[in-house]
Amino acid sequence: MADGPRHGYAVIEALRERSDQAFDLPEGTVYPVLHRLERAGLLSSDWDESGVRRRRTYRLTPRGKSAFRSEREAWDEFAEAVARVVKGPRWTPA
Amino acid sequence: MDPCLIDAYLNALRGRLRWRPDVDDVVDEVADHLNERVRRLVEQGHPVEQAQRTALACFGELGEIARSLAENDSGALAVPSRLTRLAGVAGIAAGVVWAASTVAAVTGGHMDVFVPWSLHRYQIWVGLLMVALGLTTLTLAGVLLRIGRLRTASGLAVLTVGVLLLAAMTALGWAVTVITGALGMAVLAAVRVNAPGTGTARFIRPARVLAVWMAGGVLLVVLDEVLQLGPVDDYGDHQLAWLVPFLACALCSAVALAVVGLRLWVECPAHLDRPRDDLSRTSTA
Repeated sequence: MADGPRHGYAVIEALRERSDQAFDLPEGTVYPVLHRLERAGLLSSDWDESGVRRRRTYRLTPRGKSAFRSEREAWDEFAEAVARVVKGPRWTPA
Repeated sequence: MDPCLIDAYLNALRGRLRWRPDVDDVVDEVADHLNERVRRLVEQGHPVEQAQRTALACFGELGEIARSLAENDSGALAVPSRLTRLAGVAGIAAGVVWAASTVAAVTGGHMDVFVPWSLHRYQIWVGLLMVALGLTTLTLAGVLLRIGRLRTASGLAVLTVGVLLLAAMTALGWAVTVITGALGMAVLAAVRVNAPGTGTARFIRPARVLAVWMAGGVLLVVLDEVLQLGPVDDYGDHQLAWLVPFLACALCSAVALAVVGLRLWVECPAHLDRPRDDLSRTSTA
């Protein structure tokens, strides 16, 4: 969603594609999460009523963007640290 | 396109979430998702019925999805139940008893401004206060259960304070305005959560009115010590200064509890406990 507004279906598809199908969650589980993030003020949503069906689109709020940046930095640091630990010095049998 | 399977799923979901004020939005959002999925599967060459079954299977089992949509932000279920309905009855009764306690207070139970005070009338008044406080505590327990916060520290604090006040009332009934302020503080702490879209705000807002007892305690001190309102009794207290804050707080509580009670009572219990039903078995087949 950092790339722009998305509806729930697009969020699930992006998750599946970017993870090379690794995150193949029940699609319905994304909506409670989106609703919770909206209640927390990290997302806002709008209804598009111009099509055949009503469609709800979510976007990051300024607070959501700031939280996203900070969470991503923390995750990058954590992932790099874990990678360094796992790679470590080459193990040689005694 | 045969809409039967999708519509059946959406109708079942609507039934499970009918207590949510935004149920139409939730169902419309799910409908958009499922129809979009079916459309893409059909474009890929799947038969319509197979596409619908696949879309439903990918979306998730009905009971699981309804349950996750009924959870509050801390992951607890926030749904109406038979217990919350019972708490609603307690709330309505609490409203009536608080109102009755104001009548008992002005007819010689609390102060002898209008009718001479007597021990018998005082005992009736304190008895009403204890019943009102007990019912209030039960109602608050129902509100906390309804918003999924009963088993939290603040939820337990409200119940503990309610029980302690009930015990304190036997000896300190005359100080009801001051000591019930503690319940007001506990209520404020417990119901500070206000999650739009979960349908809980309409219980939280009226419940917060109980914090009026905190203001009542302050008003009592101001009227008694600063303004010295009304005639002085044998204990040196200004009678109207004690009576007015109690009447105001008790009447506010009566209205607030009756409103909360009615709102709890009118909600039909949600049925989210069954893990699977025939429809979801069909959809995941």
